[in-house]
Amino acid sequence: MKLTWLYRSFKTDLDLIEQELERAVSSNSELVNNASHQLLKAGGKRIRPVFVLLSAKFGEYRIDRIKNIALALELIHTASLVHDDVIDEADMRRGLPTINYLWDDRVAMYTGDYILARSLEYMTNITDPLAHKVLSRAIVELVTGEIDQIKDKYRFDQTLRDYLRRIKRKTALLIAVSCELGAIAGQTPPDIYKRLYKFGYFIGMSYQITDDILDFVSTEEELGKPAGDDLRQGNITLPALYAMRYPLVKAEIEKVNRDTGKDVMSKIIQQIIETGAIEQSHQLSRRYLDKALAVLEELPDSRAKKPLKEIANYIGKRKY
Amino acid sequence: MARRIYDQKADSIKELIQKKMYHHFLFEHIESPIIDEDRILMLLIVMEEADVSDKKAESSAASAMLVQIALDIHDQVSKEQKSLTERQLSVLAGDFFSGLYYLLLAEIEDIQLIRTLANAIKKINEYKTTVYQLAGQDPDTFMASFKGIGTTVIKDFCRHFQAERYNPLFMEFLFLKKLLAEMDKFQEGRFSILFEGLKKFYLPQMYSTTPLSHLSRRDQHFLKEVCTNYIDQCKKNLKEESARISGLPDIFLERVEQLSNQYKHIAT
Repeated sequence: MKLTWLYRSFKTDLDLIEQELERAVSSNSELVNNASHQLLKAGGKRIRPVFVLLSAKFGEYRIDRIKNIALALELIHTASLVHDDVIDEADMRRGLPTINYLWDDRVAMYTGDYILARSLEYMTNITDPLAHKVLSRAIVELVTGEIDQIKDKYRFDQTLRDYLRRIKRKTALLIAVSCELGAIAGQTPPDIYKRLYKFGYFIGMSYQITDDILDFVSTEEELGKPAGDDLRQGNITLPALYAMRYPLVKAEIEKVNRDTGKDVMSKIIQQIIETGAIEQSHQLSRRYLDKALAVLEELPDSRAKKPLKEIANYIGKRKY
Repeated sequence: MARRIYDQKADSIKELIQKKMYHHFLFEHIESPIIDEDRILMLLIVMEEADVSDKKAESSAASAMLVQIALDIHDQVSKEQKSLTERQLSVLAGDFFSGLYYLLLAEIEDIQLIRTLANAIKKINEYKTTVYQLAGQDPDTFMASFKGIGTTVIKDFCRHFQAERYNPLFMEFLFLKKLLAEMDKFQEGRFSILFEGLKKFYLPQMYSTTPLSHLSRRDQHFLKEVCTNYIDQCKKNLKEESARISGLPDIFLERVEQLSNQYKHIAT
């Protein structure tokens, strides 16, 4: 099943978001304009706008208001990707060259800042101060998480708790906040938007764990980068953490550095798989997904429930 | 307002900014950002006229400063930085300070100022790309963008608080300060984007062939002369503007005087 099929019931609104995104990144500067449109060309799953729209359906669904949140969150996500590519010195994203590769770091910095400013402009169409408090706290926490990720690079003695906190900030937080803000924009009562935050948080955790598993088990063609690249970059993800419970495997993992070659990495990946770490990681991802589905059950009836459940299950089963 | 009160308020804003942006790991790896006290003074002058509480005035000024600091730190991101970690953390520091500006204003529920400053950030990044590419049809367009980079936050802040009468004065002050800093960079043999632009527009035959440091002494002197003309014009404007506005605090007039005396016209 493809995401586009899952999105079928609200395609009109998503098309509107897509058109507005084009407008949002248009600029008087030809360079910013070209760079921003290069980003949009690469597409993306638009998972955050989808969660905003669906969560708003638990309240008063007014697309003219809700679209501002959906756009703001997608733009924040996009801006963070542009800056992440500078941080990671990445050449490619979603099969297309990155802005820092096509132009340079400086242009990527300016484009990212421009897009972030645009996102805040859209947000200010929302007059509820609560929405701004929620989003601004999330942005600060998200960046703090990225700083911690750099601090934790090649730190092989980190705990499961360190990892979970990192992926919360890296991925789960923005998805959780997408759900929460969609519901706030839909003017739902607090018990609804708080539950939707939890739903998004659990989904986000499951999503990132699956992403971290795929980094070890997918092919270079599927990933657009060599398998095990996260570990090579010093990011200790869940499969590696589980596998390090075995001293011999731990000793091998601890030798990994930026220059570790593909052959060595293949052997290490094989060792990680043999410890059962992939399966254990899948189990934890599944547990988060089950928690998300349980939260969904507690929510009042809405036409958003079915698509949210379908998307949750899609996330649990995705292969790349 | 008495000088002592200005100093106290400026210290309090500076302290708030430092407290908000402190992050142990970050400041272990990047240089502590410079908090421009002249800008704080300008913001205080504006806030003195605004009908807002002290807390709101402090948060508003601190958030405008955070925006400027975030923008400035992103200008330092380059492959020339000492290490990859320093470069990575410069990216994140800018994002962190931007997030703090939003958080600070969200906490005081000033959504309109969030919008004003977001709009300023947007324009500044457009100016930055124009300057970075050395784009523009003529030196005037280039210089207007160059000026816009350093002045738009204060300009839009003044407009937001209906204190536009200060705009020409503050803009000339900040422009002069920036021109002087670029002149220093050029004289010390460091990279100067302003002088790259001047070379493009005033020595077009040398634009793509000769790096600034390899220009003949005559050509280097010529570019300094061009920059000095901008400095002189800016000083003149600044003098006129400070005379035009009544009731400016002595502390600011002294700064205008100091800055204006910082550089004398070079001998031709």
